[in-house]
Amino acid sequence: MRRHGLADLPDALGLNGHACWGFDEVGDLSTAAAAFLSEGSELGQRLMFVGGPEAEAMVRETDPMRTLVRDGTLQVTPFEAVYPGGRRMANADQLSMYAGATDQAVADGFTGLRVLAEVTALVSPHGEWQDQVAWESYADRYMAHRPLAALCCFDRQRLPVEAMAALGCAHPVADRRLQPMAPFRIYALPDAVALAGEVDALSASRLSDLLELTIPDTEGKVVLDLAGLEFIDHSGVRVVARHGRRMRERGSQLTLRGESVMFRRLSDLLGAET
Amino acid sequence: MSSQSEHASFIHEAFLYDDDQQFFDRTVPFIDEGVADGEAVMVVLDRDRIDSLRSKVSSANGDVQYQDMAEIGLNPGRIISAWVRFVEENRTAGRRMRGIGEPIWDGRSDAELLECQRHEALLNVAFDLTPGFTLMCPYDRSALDPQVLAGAGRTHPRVMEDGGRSLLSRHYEGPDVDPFTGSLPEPSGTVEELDLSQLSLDRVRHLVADHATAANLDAKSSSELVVAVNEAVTNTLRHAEGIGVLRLWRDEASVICDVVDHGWIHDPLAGRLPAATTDQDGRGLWLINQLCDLVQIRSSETSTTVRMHMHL
Repeated sequence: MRRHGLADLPDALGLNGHACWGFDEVGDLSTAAAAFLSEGSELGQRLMFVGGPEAEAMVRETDPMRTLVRDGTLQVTPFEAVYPGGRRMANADQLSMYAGATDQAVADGFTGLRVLAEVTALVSPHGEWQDQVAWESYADRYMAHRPLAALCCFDRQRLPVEAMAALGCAHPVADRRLQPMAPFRIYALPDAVALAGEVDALSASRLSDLLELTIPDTEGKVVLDLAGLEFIDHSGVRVVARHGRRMRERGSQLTLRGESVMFRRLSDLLGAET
Repeated sequence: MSSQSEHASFIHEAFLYDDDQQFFDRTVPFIDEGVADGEAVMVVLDRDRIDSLRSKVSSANGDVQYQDMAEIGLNPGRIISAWVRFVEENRTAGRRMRGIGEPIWDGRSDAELLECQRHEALLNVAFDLTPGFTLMCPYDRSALDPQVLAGAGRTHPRVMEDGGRSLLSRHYEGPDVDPFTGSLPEPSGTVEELDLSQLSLDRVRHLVADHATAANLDAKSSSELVVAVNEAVTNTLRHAEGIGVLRLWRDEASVICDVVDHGWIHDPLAGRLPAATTDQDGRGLWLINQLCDLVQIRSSETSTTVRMHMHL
């Protein structure tokens, strides 16, 4: 089982950890980054940083990151080097880059790869958070079964509130300060996509957006695991049912598993049309 | 009744009986007649009554739909949607329909009786424009309070007494009822009163769950109450800017939650029609009715109270 939920610190994530973190000033990030990287060292993962100039400066100047950079443990890759001109790569290309680096880390004797990423610039200034959400979820499918861990950090001051919320919802672990905007999470299990946390009338439309971005209706057969769902109201049940219907219409199939007695009850009460 | 024209209006009749003999003497032919005429027949009674009826009617088993009143009608706010489903299933096929429903029995609490009477009155609203539907409501004269029996006369256009003669009720109050009028008794004992404007929706859910656990409410009922209160508070967020009060308490029989706000419910059938036929708000109240053991709604220009009971 992958760790999931809201967290005070992105620690204890495991080899497959994937967390979303927000910051107001880049200096705020150092505690989270330190916790994330030191777990990686303990687990024997290769450490890598990708991010903008301000975050890079923070990493180079703040301990323990500074020491890790100096002794060559933490490899620093400027944002521009990975994303020339701030351009987003196609998801498949971006993933093959990270998958290649993960394989290389394993080949070099590491247990895997751990990436500290500050990629606000991929989302801002154009505000293409939907693409980033789709990417996070796409990468998460890979991470669920390969030893790649990532801490994805975003400057909250430069992103619209809904972007930050949606990004938080698209990671198995999210910064607790994103609550109540990100009360649920959609993330990958080795054999399924999980929906966990809480969904109510205030978050149902966000769930609808997130399902569309993370489980495209052309994806084919997908199992949605609801075992980690702590609460869902009828508007949330309707959203899940609607997405299943949309997928069916496109020749795909969404199968639910692990749903609670109450989920089934609400589903039955609302009827086939829900 | 089979001689009535295709466009006969809804017939809602109270039937006062003194013993089992009278009960079956009247209900068995009522069912058999309906089946013989090709009508759709639904019977909503307690289990024992259903078992006895099954052995007495001559109609084959599949001809009559039997439903357990203890399930459907424990909360009387659920009963109309069961009848609506029955009507919807058959009306389009052009069939005439008849039903028997006994929502009031000896042992109902005062609060339940109050809601049953409001339910009986609302049937006249719900099916006012439904022709070809005859609904008979038996009342046990040997066991029920005279006031309850008098209530039957006020909520039924017709009353059948000794000898099987059906008469227009002199006390019938008509279909223009406000089911939300009046006020509810003040909570008693230790009452937790919380300002909804200070609480997030998820906090409300946790408070209700804690309250239910502290009162030893079973897990199933607790989660039903949490979902129900969540729906009520969601309506407060939508219609009353989240301004309202949540009250939690218990009595010997139940865990009770009030959600009070300044919204105003206009539709007398709010919460009583199946979800598919209503909008977002109606669906919330409807779900509350499906999930709770008893729901009492009072609403006026100045405030609305949704009181939800779960039996311990």
